Amino acid sequence: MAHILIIEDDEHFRPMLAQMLTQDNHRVRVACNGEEGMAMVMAEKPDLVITDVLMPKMDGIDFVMALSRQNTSIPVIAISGGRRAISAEFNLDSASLIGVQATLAKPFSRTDLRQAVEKALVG
Amino acid sequence: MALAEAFELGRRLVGEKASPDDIVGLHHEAMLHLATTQPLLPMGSAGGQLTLPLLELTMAHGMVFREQMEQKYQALVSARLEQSSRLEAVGTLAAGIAHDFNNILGSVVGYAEMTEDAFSNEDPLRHNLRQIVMACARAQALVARMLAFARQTSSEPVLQELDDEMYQSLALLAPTLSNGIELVFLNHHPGAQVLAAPGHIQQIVMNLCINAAEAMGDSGELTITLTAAADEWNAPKGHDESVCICVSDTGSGMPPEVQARAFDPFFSTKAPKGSGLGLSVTHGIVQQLGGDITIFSRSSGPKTGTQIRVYLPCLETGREAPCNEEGLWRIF
Repeated sequence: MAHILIIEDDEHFRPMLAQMLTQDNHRVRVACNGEEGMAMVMAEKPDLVITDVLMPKMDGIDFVMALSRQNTSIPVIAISGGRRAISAEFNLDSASLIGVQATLAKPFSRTDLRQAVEKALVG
Repeated sequence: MALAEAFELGRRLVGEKASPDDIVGLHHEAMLHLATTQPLLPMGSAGGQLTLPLLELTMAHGMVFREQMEQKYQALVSARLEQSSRLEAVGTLAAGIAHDFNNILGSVVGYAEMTEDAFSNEDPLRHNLRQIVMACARAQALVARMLAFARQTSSEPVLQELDDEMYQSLALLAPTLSNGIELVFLNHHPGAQVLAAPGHIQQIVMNLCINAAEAMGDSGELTITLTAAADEWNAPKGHDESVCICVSDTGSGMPPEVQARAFDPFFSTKAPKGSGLGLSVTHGIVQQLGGDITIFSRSSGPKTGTQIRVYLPCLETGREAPCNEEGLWRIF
């Protein structure tokens, strides 16, 4: 069981993801954008962050870069569905370049999520 | 004869498909008729009276002909522009909805999978939920195709071996075809290389083959041929150095009215199953690669079917050797 922070702006996807992780006995907290997520990271020090890449205010890439400046070792999983002429894969490649532990393209299966969480937590 | 009258007469003659040669012929006949019936008439002045109006008529005929040609050219240009802006609109639309759509699919898949776990393996409701998840996977693939279409202008092209790309696409496609469909790849141009963005060749081959397979239903012959365009008698102009991919099926064929709209975005004869994007995406990619695409189809008579040929500029030929010892062909 881990303490997981979800940063996701989609109001339908966010509770679904939270429910999925809760069913796997994780303790889940949610934030709607990178700014809110960063405040919660500083306050709660979660074991793992799952962040969307494209979000209003602070996006996932800025969030990961801001997190790395905090000298924390909290692992991050980046998730994306793509936008405009940018594929989910391109977003996730960008996220990988700046050091996230795992990536998932939406929609993903429960098995994919479990594997990614396991991989990220093991480090 | 006033010029306006000549112009009107010229318009009528063009309407009747009379050529300038016909008009000269008319003049000649009139002169002969005059000389025969009126032998005493001074031919100089009579000829002048006949020739001048006919000269005006010929000139007017030319003007009307040019006017009609210009109108036809304008109509052609407008049609091309309209098609191009429609394709662009599809790209913008696809790009705009892709993210939201994947989020929605993500929620559907997630909730369906969580609900699935509440049923035993034997429960038919579990099977239904699996169908929902599988349908979402298909929708995800469709979104990816639409996004690829929207990205067409931003992809970086690289040198690709055409037969290798085609082989990989067909290997992916083969297991999805009905058992009654015979898939054959005839490689007459091994190692031909083209400049294309990653995935473009596979997208062209997959889209054309999926359409061909759907046109055949449960059985038929799906033949994919790779040749030098120079070996094709009906290759479009400017493709002497190109390579030709021909996807040929023994399906129901396309009547002329369907052929005319085959590349239109969202035009589908398979609604609601078809998205109407496959061929328009293919058309867009082929144009972007500097190629051409042609359709030959027969929808009536004893042998129906469709052949779609894609001509792509070929940069170099990498190898001479055939792909396998049986002589360049492979049945999947």
